[in-house]
Amino acid sequence: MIRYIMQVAGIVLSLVVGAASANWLLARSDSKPVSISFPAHVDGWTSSLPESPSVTNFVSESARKIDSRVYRKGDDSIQLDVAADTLGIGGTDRLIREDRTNDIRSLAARVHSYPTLNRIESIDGLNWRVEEMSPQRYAVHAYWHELGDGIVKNRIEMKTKSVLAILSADSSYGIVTVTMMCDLKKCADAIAEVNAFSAALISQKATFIEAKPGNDNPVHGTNDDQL
Amino acid sequence: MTVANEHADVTTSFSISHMPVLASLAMIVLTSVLTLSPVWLIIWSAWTQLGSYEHGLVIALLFGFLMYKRVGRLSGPLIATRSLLYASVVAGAVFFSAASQVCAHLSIELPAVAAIPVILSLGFFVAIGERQERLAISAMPLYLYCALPVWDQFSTVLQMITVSVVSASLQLLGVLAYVDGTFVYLAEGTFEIAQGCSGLRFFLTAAAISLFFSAFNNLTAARSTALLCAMLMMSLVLNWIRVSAIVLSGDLFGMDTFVVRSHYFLGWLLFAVALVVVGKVADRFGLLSPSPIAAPAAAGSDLAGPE
Repeated sequence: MIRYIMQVAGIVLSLVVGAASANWLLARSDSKPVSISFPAHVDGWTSSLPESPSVTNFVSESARKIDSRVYRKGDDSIQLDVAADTLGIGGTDRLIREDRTNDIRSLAARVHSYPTLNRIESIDGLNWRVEEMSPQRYAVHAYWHELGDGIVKNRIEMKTKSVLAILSADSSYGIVTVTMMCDLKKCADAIAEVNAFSAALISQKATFIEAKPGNDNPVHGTNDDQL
Repeated sequence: MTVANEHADVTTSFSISHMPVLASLAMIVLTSVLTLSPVWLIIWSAWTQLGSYEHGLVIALLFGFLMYKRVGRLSGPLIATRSLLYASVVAGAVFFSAASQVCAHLSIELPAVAAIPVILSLGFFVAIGERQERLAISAMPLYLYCALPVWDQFSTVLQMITVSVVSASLQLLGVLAYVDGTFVYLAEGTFEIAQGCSGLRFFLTAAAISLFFSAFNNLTAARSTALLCAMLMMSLVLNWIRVSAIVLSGDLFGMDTFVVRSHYFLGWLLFAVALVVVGKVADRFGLLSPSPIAAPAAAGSDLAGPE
């Protein structure tokens, strides 16, 4: 009986030790989420990029590259085509063909107010996952049907060394938020790297050209050759 | 579906001899909740919000009930686990506990959550001691997978199947509809067959009820499998009928009707009715009777709680 009790105590202790050792290792790695928020244009889907190169620009531009074929067909008409080959996957997959501005705006609003957190949800053809970063703030992850989560994250991680993980990238609802995890000692380097990458992206940015009303032919961005 | 059977003795009286095991099991669960609280918060969040896992709390209660009943069949002295085996289990518990914590910290939720039943199984393995029923009881936390938020990718598959079936059924019914992706465009309006319409919640609930019933009534493996398949098929067909009916209702009577507005509760109502129907049919085919061999054993011990 005594041996049994000791064994049960041991297994209970092992759970504590496992979790505690994980916490210790995480603390030792000196990593913590760093949240950077910038105001951006409310009409983030179609407006021009923020002026100065920054982390915001990076995410915004990154998102634009995914949503890289946004163009107007008239005052109340926007078509948003999504091209998967901007990520080097090959082949263009048009996931969204919307022709109503309000729908695009409501999409952003619905994503932002979506009550189900941390679930993969499909809204208007795109998959989204909404994550609660704090009681007042939510992060939105958008990704592809075929490829699953982490495309944007992986793309960032491939290009930077100091960023351990991009936890969220929210470019909807007028606020662009990047929450990334980095080594505290290298955070400055991480931000610099992201900025540099951002600048490189901006230098080849897509432009969103207004077509004449009634013109149904898409006018693509200047980086068409990369699509 | 009834859970009573003629072989079962459901009298439950508490025995002091079962206290150490029950206390050990409770302590293991409590410790996992306290030490892995971020992971349990993810689970709790899924259970308390409308979504594919809202049935989770009920499944957890059923699991607790099953455990209580199973412990009641334990007899004999408590025998500690052999040292080498015990060391392996402890090592496994440390590993999975640490891995779950790290994954939760890095927001990699699926493995963090999926580790919980494994951790509980390892703990229960030690708490049960060297007994014949050890493997069966320590595997029971795996039942919780029916309630844990680890099935989101599968939900996408169910969603696509639902869209295909609904599209075909609308054609058969002669409903003028244009299906584009997950959207169904009607003259009256547009429906989205979202992931919440995939039927995952019904699928998991059907699996959980089927497994619970099989365990509770000591069904044979063959009967358990047949019942599980019947229940899963029922849940899928039910959801297809539900979504098709809602779209049809929208087409016939417009978008602002009780059926469309209450489609969520309508689903659970249909599920309850279908559960009764499947139970009756399964009972008629003898699927719900315990095995002849297991029945006598069940009479005095299997369903009895701690005495």
